Amino acid sequence: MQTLVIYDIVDDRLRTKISETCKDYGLQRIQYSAFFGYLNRNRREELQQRLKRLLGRKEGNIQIYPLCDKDMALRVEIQYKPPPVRE
Amino acid sequence: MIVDQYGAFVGKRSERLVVRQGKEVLVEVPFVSVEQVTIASGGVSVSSDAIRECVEQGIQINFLSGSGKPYAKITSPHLSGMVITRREQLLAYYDERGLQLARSFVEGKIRNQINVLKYFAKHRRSIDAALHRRLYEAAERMDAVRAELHDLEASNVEAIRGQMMSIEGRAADEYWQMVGEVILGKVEFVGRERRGATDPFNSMLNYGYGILYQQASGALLLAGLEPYGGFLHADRSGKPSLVLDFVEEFRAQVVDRTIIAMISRGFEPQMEEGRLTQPTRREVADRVLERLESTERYEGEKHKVKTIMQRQARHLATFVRREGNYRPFVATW
Repeated sequence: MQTLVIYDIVDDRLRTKISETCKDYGLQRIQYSAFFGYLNRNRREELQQRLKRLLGRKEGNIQIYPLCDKDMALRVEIQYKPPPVRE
Repeated sequence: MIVDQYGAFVGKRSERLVVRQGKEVLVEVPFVSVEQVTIASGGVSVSSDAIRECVEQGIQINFLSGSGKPYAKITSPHLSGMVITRREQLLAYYDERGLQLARSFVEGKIRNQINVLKYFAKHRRSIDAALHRRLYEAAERMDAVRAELHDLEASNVEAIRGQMMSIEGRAADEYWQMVGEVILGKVEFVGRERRGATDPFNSMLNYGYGILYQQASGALLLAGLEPYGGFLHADRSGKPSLVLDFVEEFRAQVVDRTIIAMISRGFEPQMEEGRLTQPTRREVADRVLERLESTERYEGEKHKVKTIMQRQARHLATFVRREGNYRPFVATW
């Protein structure tokens, strides 16, 4: 299932570890603290355990959302890129 | 995964395989989603950490020369654990099992060659009726040659190897003759050249077979078999005869069909200094790997060709242990 992982972590080193772990599971970075990609149930639970262990008793919040195809179809993206500044 | 950039570095970062060119990261893939790593260029370095992780995850690392000829392979030293299979495999050479296997491989090869001809005939029924007819006639002649396999009687392979080779050779002559007609005018092809080919079509085939060998040897190793102990192909040191035997039933369907299709659709292979250029080799590799991912009917279900190959290797192992049957894989048209 497509899975969205978002997190809020204070510690820089820990945040890097979290993002590295997400990449190890084949997830793609979609925002600074948001990863997205396909994970089956087992892999998702594995990732959950790992992230839980990584966070331990440090301050932070991690959220993992499995998204069904039906909901995925309703996904929208709103984006604006400012034009490059002219000198 | 294929690494074919000169000077690339294959390393490990966290639990991902990373391919770098200088400082630039070319690819980064989690080990869990890598099946095999094939190094197909000179000047590539691989870190010991990457090797260790690959081996632990059961990922085989292959090294291919520019013409697609494998020259090294890294696998776990613990993979040869199943001794009974290997013992029986080597013993099978001397009795009816070896005979039956050799027959199966040739049978599978010819039937797949026939089906590849029919596959290309299908699209030509209306546009070139004469060629369509000749393809079917050749298929019939090949089938008659194939039938001779069942007249052979002996107690082991050695006794009738010559006759089997003759059957295989006569079918192959018909086959390559017709392949030549199918690609006529697209690319120069005067006949099949196994080694040291300098024409694009033969070079493409040889390169494609190189990739097929890697896939096959991986499947055989995983099934606990000894790649160097063949039946049809005579033992010679340094020659993985079981791999060569085993690929016979896959060659035509996986490689020939793919490359003939590329050529008939107008792909123009590029050569330099008598070798395929890097982009051409890449294209051949991509198409062949794509074919391995495509599905075929097998044992009443649809399976990826590479899965079928793995299953066939396991059937081969159970067959030499006298625990099951072995029947060649024949894809339809």
